[in-house]
Amino acid sequence: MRRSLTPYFFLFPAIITILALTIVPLVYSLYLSFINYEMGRPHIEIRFVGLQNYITAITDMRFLIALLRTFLFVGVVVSCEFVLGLILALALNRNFRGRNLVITLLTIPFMVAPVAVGFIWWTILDANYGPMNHLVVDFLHLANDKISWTGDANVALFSIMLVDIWQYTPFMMLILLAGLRSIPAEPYEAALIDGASGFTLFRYITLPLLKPAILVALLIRIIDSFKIYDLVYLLTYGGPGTATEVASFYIYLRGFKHFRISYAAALSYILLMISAVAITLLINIIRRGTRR
Amino acid sequence: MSSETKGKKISRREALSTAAKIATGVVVAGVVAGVGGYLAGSTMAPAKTVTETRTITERITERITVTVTETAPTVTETAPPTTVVAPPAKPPYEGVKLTICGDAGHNQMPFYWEKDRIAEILGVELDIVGVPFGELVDKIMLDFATGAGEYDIVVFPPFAGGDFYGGGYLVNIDPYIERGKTDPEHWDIRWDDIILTFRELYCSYGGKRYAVTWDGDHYQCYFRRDLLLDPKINEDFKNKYGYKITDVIKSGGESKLRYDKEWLEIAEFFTQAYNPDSPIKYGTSELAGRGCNQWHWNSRFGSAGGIYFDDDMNPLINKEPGVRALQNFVDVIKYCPPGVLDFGYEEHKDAFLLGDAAIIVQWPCIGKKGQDPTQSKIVDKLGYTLVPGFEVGGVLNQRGNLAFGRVLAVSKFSENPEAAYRVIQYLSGPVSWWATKWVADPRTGLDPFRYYHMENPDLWKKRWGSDPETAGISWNALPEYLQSAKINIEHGFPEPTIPGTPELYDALTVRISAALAGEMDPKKALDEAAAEWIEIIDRIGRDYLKKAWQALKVGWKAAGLLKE
Repeated sequence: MRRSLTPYFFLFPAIITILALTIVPLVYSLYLSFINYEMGRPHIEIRFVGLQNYITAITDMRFLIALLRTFLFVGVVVSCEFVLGLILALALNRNFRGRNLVITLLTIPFMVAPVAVGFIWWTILDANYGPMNHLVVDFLHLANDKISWTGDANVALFSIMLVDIWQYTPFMMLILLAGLRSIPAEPYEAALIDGASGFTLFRYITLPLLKPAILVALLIRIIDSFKIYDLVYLLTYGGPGTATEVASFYIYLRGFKHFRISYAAALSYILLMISAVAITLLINIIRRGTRR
Repeated sequence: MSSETKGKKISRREALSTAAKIATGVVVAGVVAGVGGYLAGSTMAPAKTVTETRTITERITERITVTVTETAPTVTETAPPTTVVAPPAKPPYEGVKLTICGDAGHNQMPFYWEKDRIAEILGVELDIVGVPFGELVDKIMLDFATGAGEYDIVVFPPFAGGDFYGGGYLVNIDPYIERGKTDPEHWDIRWDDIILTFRELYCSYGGKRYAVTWDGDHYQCYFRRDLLLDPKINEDFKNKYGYKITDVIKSGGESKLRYDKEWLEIAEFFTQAYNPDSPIKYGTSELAGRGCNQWHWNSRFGSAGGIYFDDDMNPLINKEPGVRALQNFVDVIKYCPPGVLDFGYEEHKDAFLLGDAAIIVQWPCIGKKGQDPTQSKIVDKLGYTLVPGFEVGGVLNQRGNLAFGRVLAVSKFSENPEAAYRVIQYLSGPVSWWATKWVADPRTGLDPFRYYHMENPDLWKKRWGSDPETAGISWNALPEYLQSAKINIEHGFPEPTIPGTPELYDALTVRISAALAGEMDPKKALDEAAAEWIEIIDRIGRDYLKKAWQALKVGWKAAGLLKE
């Protein structure tokens, strides 16, 4: 009897922790999404409202547009980070002098706290005093007038994307480089004997064998990008207008700025479901590709 | 895993199962990150970004003669007016710890400067929590709504007062104020000395007092006197526009600037893109960033004769005054520095103080910071005047928004409300020259809010000369600055400080930002904002808000800011 209880004894702290920090808040936030709780409004009687918050959400144009903007953001940044990360990983997957130093230097952006990154780029992108305009306008002469990197509705979202790509490409590079290092040499040797060229090696050996690493890297970055909030908060605060308002930022506004806790909870669940479906589809697509 | 298994199609059940697993994973990650972030951000490690300026504190302590003896305790200040205050024989709140929460940065400096003296005189150990400017209201509301009671004293902008007062989260300080009038040990806070506008708009709700003004924010118009009053430039200006700038602007006095005429013309004249001979890059600057542009729109809206709601709480922001205000806001953007659509306080301030813009509307702290050589490149080149306006019915109506501001209040969850009030009283009482020390200091962003501040320019000079860090500030234009402050407060246009204002403001600022960015025309932008205001009002409770709005207007009328 004692023997059979021992494993549970060791599991107990982990179970309690997960219950306290994950399951209980999760269930509570689900409960919140079905009532009408607003923080600091004691005159509003709290009551069960069924799916009302969800119905409001799916007819909330600002939220729907923020969702679309989030998809655009995720699509662009993850694609760019993947391509750039793969190129860097392939370039670094060979032995040369100073290789470790280069890898270390390239990973620095990833090691910086996102808030610090936001402040650094806030300075860099400052239209009047930031070095980016000096580079683009004064040095490279790519534009005649100073560009408002965070104040122009047509540019602001791309500025945030640029910063995100700068910060997280090294992460993609690290995962893919680890994947490349784990590929055995034998398939390449056999293919070379058969007369395969460089691109053929990449297409038929490197890429298929790298797919588990690609899957992991893409999944982590997609999940992470869906939650983009810090850079938006620091660089544009969702503006100008709603040009950079993404779903997480909008939920933050509704929940913590406008005190509509129940509505924010419903929005969170919708975002969660959408991202879960999107990720499932992605996994299926990649798995299907692997089978071929 | 066999190759057969690999090749098998994923069933619907598997797909759903995978989705469920991923969803759980995402939720776990999100919740853990969220809880972690929350704990890191508030409960476990409250942001304390302001460093204690120990050296400064000591310098100030040297200057104020404080005598606390066992036999005849007195607190005497050397500064005029000579005020002798009898403190308690021993610190009355020995061992009491209080937490004060405010926006981190320059406006918390007085708390750090006075922390030791408060401990010495009142016995209160003050824990100072600084949160980012943009997070202040949320943090306080979170503390109130959850009943956590982390903060005893809170500093907040009055636009959040509707929610805080209406929610019943603050202590009614009427008894403490009254006690101070008769009990010398409790010091008279001199309530009536607080400028009527600020004590009516900021501190009272439903006929009761809940807060003490800490920062008398209002808008003033600042201009480069070396340029706008220059005779040669005025001749050139007259040749182009048919009048001199000096015909419509007087430093320290009442200007006759119209937003849709002189303001635009002056801005155009001093923008090099439109006038290559301009001695300065840009004609003006605006606080145009999302989250703060509503304050500059409010000024225009009030000047155009607008008012936020009718008596039934129907929004009026999309009527003619609102559209006129926003159209003018849009029109002036081309005369502003690049990136203006993202400008907050710092960028707007710097555009002027670093010498890029000729004329701006901004809070009073620009006036004192502009004369501080450590912060400004235009020392002794500033002029101060009344904000611009619009002609309404043939009369020039100039209203500057009484935007933001700060008050000090006691949380209802405080276990020591009396001690908390006494700290507030200390900070705004005789030992601090009724807060003149703080509003006069260019290192803070606090602005005059007492008649006493306006009437004692010698105290300002004394404050500046008291410390090597502020000794370089120019004294020359102070009388004009104070005169301008007085006139602009009289022409103030209040904020709609009813419950739900942060959400109403969000709906408005997003649309203003979109209009300024050219995404939609002003009328459409304001129609959308008004439609969202109706939703917000109906959700929070039209009758509930109607009462708050009527009560608010009573205060506005009492302060002479609303004539109906």
